[in-house]
Amino acid sequence: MRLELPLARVKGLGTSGEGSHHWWRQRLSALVLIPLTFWFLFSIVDQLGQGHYMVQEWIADPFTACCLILYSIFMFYHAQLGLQVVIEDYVHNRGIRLTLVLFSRAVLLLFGILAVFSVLRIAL
Amino acid sequence: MSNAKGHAIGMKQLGTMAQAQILLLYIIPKEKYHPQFSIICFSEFGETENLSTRPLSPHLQVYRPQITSVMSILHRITGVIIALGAIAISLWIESVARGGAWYESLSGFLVSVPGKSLLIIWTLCTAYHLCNGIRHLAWDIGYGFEISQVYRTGKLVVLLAVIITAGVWLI
Repeated sequence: MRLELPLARVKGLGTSGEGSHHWWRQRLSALVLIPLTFWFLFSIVDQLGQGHYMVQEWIADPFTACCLILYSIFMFYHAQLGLQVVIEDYVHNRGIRLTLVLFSRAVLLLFGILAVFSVLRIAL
Repeated sequence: MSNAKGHAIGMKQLGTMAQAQILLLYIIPKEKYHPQFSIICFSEFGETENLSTRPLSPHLQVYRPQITSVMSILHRITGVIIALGAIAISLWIESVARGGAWYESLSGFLVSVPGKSLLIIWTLCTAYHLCNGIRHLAWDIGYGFEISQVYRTGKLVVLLAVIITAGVWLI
């Protein structure tokens, strides 16, 4: 027995109101992050503690710049999706939950843009 | 299972606890007691909305920690730590763009002992979340659900996380 109107069934958005959109985006961003994270882990270590000029050179390299921008975008996006799930699981009060989700989204967006803009500033 | 102060208690104590709860049934007002789940809600839950009226799944307190549950919660904890680290990375890139004293102080902190320790913890969290994430993606496409496989891949994830961290910092 389906306790669902035909319209709701066609829309396929379920009780969350957004269907499987969040779940799917989380998986796709995770998939993109697999090679990027390996690249980042193994290349960032050499840069730490280097002189300012050397690090600038490294970031200004077109391949590095592209990978860093992709990594920043996908990591902050994936982080936002993940933190949203954590908040939704543990915060039961609706108002506080929505506030925290929007706040975490705003903070991660800010730092994501900061990273992307800084890479462009160095590389261009 | 937890006692009135929220402290975890072992299954061995359940017998005594169950007996005590039967006694308490006569003392405690009905609305502060869950018949199904046998948890007595004292003041730490107070009169707050649904906590005092129904049990919420998953009941983490009643289970003995297992590799599956511990790895699952670690996936979340490491995820939150990585998100905090991402903010630090973004600040580091910004400091490269800005240059000057800000870059020098930040890069000085990162090569110091506390800075380096934080970086190694961050690397370990990232490597763990990465490997366990691949394990999750394998589950999503329907692979690795046998309990023996779940344990085997779980141990493999922990091992690989340590190897990757060592590789990143020693090579």
